[in-house]
Amino acid sequence: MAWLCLLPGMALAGGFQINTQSIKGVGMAGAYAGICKDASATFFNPGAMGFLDKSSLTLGGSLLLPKASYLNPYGGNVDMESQTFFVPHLYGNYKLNEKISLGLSVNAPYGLGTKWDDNWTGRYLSQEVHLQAIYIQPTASYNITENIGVGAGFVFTTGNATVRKASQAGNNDVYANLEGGGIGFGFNVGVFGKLGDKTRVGISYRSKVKIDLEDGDATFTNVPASLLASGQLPASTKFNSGITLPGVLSVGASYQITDKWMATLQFDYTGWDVYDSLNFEFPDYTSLNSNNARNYKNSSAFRLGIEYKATSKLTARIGAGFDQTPVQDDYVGPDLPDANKQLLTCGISYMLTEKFSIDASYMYENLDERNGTYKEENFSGSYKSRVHVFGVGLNYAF
Amino acid sequence: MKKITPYFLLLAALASSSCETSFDEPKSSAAPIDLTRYVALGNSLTAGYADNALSLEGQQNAYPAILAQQFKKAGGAAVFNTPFLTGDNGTYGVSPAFTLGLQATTPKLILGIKADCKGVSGFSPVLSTAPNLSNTAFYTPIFQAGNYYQNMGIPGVKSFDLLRHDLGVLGLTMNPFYYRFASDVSATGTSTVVSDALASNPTFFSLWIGNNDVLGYATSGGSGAVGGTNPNDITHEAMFDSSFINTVRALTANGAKGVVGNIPDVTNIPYFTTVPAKGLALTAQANVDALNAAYTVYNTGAAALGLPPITFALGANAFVIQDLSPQYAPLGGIRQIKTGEYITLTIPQDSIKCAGWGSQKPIPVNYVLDANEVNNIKTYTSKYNTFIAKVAADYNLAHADFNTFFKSFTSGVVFNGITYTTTFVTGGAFSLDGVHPNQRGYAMVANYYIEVINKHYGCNIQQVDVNSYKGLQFP
Repeated sequence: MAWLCLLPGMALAGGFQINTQSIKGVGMAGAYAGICKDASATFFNPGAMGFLDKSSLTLGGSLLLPKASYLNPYGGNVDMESQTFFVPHLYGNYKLNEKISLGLSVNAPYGLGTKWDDNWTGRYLSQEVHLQAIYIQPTASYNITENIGVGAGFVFTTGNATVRKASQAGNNDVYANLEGGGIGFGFNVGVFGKLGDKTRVGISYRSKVKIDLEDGDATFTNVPASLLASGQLPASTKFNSGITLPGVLSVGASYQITDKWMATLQFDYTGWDVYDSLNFEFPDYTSLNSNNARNYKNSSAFRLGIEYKATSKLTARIGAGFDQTPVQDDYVGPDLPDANKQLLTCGISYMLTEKFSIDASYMYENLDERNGTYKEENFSGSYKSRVHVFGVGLNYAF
Repeated sequence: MKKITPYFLLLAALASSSCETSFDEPKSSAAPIDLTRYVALGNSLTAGYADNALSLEGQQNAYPAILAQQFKKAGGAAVFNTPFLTGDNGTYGVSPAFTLGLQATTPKLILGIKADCKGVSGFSPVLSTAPNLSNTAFYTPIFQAGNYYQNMGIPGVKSFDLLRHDLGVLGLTMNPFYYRFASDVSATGTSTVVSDALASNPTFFSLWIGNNDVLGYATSGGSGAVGGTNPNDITHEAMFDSSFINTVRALTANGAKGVVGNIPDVTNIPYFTTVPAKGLALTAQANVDALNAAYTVYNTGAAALGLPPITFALGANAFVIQDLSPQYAPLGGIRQIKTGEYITLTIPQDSIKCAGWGSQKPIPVNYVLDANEVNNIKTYTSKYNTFIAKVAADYNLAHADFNTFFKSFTSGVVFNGITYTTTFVTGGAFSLDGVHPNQRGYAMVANYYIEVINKHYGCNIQQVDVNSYKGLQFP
């Protein structure tokens, strides 16, 4: 799987959640828990998997083009280094029989990539952060009745992170580069139901995943010779860290207004309070240990999508959403200058053949301008961010 | 499909119009005050003195230079001249007790690695180069008619020196640095620091004076008198008050606005906090026993006089110091240091480690601030500060409370991820002389001035990025 080396991008939902896990879903602002359209149901709501007509495969990816700026109260505007991220996903469902389906979901629902100039004013807080978490989830579903299905998946997560920042040894900026990875486990459960012919309701819950990062590699460059010689700072050492990726509860519903029009609504509640601090421990150099408070709070998101079946082959979608930031005012830092977000999205699907279809989507995400402080480090300023996301997906049903 | 086409168009319009996230450059504004012509009056702190020397680099990054640069962004400080040195000239004899014929200049201190008397290597301030024994350039007059200077910070000056005519006249009472750029250095010279400042017709001034009125006394271990005018004396309160108010009167006579700074409690600076009073570490019981035995006679005498004994135990012990007060005369003029008394940074560490200073022998008085001396320093600092606050209020000037400002460094001041403290060398805010800030410390001083000015006058002057200034260079 070559795409494992591709980095998920800057946050696309609250915190560092990435909400581009289905191209059809993106077209409707990510409201997809109350819908059952393709194999991405394995991820969005395992309970819906059994309602897919056929076995199928969905492969897709999104190109994320974030842009962010910081207004330095002691200087002026600083633009974040521009980066482009590609976040892929792969889903498959196999109808074992009328009641039981099996599925696999491989995607990257959490990720973060922020990069500032190495010599910028916030270098002692962050120069660069990359975080990616890949979720691999074998899933099974069971349709209890014609109208109710339940499903569950086991989540295996592999995560890795790179953190680069400067620290000060007098006049010297010492550059710290921390790289490490770890694995974690979780689960995903869902219930999906049909209420009459037109209404679909789904509830899903994806658990939190704790990733312990042990024996990471820390390297320090530009260390004054005297501090290296005296052993106060190492050229390299090992470090331990860890992160807990939050759980998400999604409640969604869709309604088939006419043959052509369908509307869907979704509410997500993300348990961000698990991200209370980011700690680094250096067993051989305990003086370097650092605890960085994050104190995220749980956040809500609302999503609304509309689908229009223009012809038997062409479907169009639009969506809008609001995503609440989990980052509190005193904890807004340059490694993730998060803010409340508004999403506007659109997308299309086209049936190429009976078996093949293609999806495309576009999302525009606007973050509120935010004047924030990372209080522990007395780092203040205003942030503005926007993200453009372009997605393409392929579906094969058999 | 037609129904949602407008939505797509709207999205496209939004996307294209919102590509840029960049902020407009922030606007600085001097209004409602006039910062057109700024002069700074003061002592070494105003001159940019650091690491035990005044250097070109220090002058270029002195807080008045930073203020002038930020005022310029707000449309002010069109001209701001500093009597620049030609390099790391350093200083010697910048106090009024300058001795003619001894024109040696001491270069700045840098951090080096030195082995102590026990052969253990560690960081230590060392001279950057050998002293220059005949640096006449340092006090060669440079003033040219009409070209007044706006940084009137002169190392060594006390409150009353700003109004002294003979400060810039060649002779025993001159200040050689002021002599360099005074407007009238003739034998009958009439220029004073204040008159030269007024010659620039300032619309705004900063005045930070009075530190040396207690500092010389403090750094010399209280060797001067209380109420005198010599370098190591504490200035008499009435003399300080009249000098200060006369200076402010002169500066505000034409309606200029300004900011006055008060005096930090010097017992908070690294010069006095680096060597702890309880700094005698004993790790061997044999040493403890030997020392206790050596003071048996002393302790018998002390008990008879009702004075505390000298005792030692494993761990941290109070140093033995010289005390020349009559009370301790029968005991040979020595005792153990008490909490709230200080040892100066300048004490030779090797004498403690290898020559028995502070244990077998008392630490000489000129390295010690005893309780009485500390009390004199605190009392006079407080008296001066009360007067400075009153004058600031009476003349409606901005008041920079540097006493509180510097106190905050004892618990740490964080700026953009870096914590600055009063810890010697690693604290990041003070230079290697332990008294003066380094360039980052001066940048924080400038930021504090700006904060106070903005608050008092309601202007909007931008502060500077402290971390972009130079800090200590590790070897």
